[in-house]
Amino acid sequence: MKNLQKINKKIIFILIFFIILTSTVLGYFFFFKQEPKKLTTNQEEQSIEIFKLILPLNNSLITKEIYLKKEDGELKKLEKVLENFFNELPQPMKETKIHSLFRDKENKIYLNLSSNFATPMDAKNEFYLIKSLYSTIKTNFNWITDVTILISNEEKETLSGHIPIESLRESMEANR
Amino acid sequence: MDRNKIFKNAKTSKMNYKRSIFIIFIFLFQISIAFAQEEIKKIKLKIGKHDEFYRLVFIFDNSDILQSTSAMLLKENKIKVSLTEDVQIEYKDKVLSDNEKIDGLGIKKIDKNFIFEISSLSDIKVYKLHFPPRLVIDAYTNQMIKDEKILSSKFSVLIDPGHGGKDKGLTYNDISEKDVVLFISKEISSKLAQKGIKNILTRISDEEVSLKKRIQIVNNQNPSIFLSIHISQENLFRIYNVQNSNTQMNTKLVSHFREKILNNFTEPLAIEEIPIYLINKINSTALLIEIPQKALLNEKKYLNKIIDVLYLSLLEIGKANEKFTKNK
Repeated sequence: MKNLQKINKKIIFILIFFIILTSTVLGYFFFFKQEPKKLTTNQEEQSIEIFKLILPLNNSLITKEIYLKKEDGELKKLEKVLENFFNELPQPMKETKIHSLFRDKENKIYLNLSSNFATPMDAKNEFYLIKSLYSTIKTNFNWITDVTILISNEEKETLSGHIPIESLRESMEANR
Repeated sequence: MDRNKIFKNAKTSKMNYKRSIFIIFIFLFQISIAFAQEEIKKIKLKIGKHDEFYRLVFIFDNSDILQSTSAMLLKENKIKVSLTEDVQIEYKDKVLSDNEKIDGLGIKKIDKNFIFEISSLSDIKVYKLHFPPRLVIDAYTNQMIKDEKILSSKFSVLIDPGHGGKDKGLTYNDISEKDVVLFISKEISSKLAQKGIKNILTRISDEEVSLKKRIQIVNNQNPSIFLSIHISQENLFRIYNVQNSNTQMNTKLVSHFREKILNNFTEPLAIEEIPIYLINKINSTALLIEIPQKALLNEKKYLNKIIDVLYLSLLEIGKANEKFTKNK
């Protein structure tokens, strides 16, 4: 009788051992094997960033979302966003090139653009163009404290003779 | 006997022949009189009420009548137009009677003369013009002269031709916005000066004047009206009003320009209230106006029309301004 009890106990132990082993193996496959897949998706999500372009259209501004690959530096991000912004504008502003882009200690940005951006236009179009550029920068890059726009290395009062570039910068600051 | 009869018959037929000729003569004479009565000459009259005067234009069929016609100022607000022939006046395709009243003007016919009665009449200017032959009388009234004097003493305008120097503004072929608006501004300035209205330009040549400098000029001069002139990218007029402007003068300023533009041009007009720094930063009543892109074609007729409309709008605003100041 005692021998029989011993054998039953052994069998029960062996069974419990197998159950634990099986569940461990299953658990391993269930949790650990799927994790690399999840990680890959997250990595893909993390490598794309969404930005908003504020663009001039007739008598108003419109918003357009763009998806860009994540860049390491904030200035690179800004450059990419601005390139896309210019690309959405009509000719000849569409051909605007960023000659250089600086950031000082106080997070002030110096944006040196090609002369295509300062093309002759009437007051209304000039107003919406400057406003859209400032709004695009402000909406996407909160850390920027101020923006100075240069046209071919020169600080200009206006883009085309009606609206001082500074005047809209002031209004943006007031809206903050 | 036969011989006598023949002689008698011949005599009678001769008498009848003479009688019939006489009757025909009388008949023709009467017809010619009737025709002559219908043939009273007509001269066309046009009346225009301008800001400073009434303009009476008499259009004749030939230069001879024009040469013999004269006009003179009489006492008691009357103008006498003397003609050597009896004529009738036709006004708006209607022949006037001997005593008429049109647009506040009394017209009386006495013999071959016409007497025009205009209240507060002070002076007349008479011109004889050809092609077509016409007599033009500009009749000035006391009220109009009084208005002019009030304007010349207080009302002043500062005109700002946009762009200049390196900043050409919009261009079409070799024509630049900076040159077109300078031409328009100078013409308006000269017309205002002729009326004795003090006016200044922010630039008188092709020079670059910054917006800050322009604001400085306006605030130093403190004019009654500041008008900045530019050209639109589209074929429409655009008026930029001072943002959040509720002042009576600014509202009147916009409405005067709006009315004049819509009455004289087929191009549409847009009124914008975006914050145009230049007009928002000055103390005077101000607006920025963009004329249609068509102005870049530099057609003299079109530019002159724009000059006249802007000039007359300013003149009317001046009068409204004086009335407003008086009431205040």
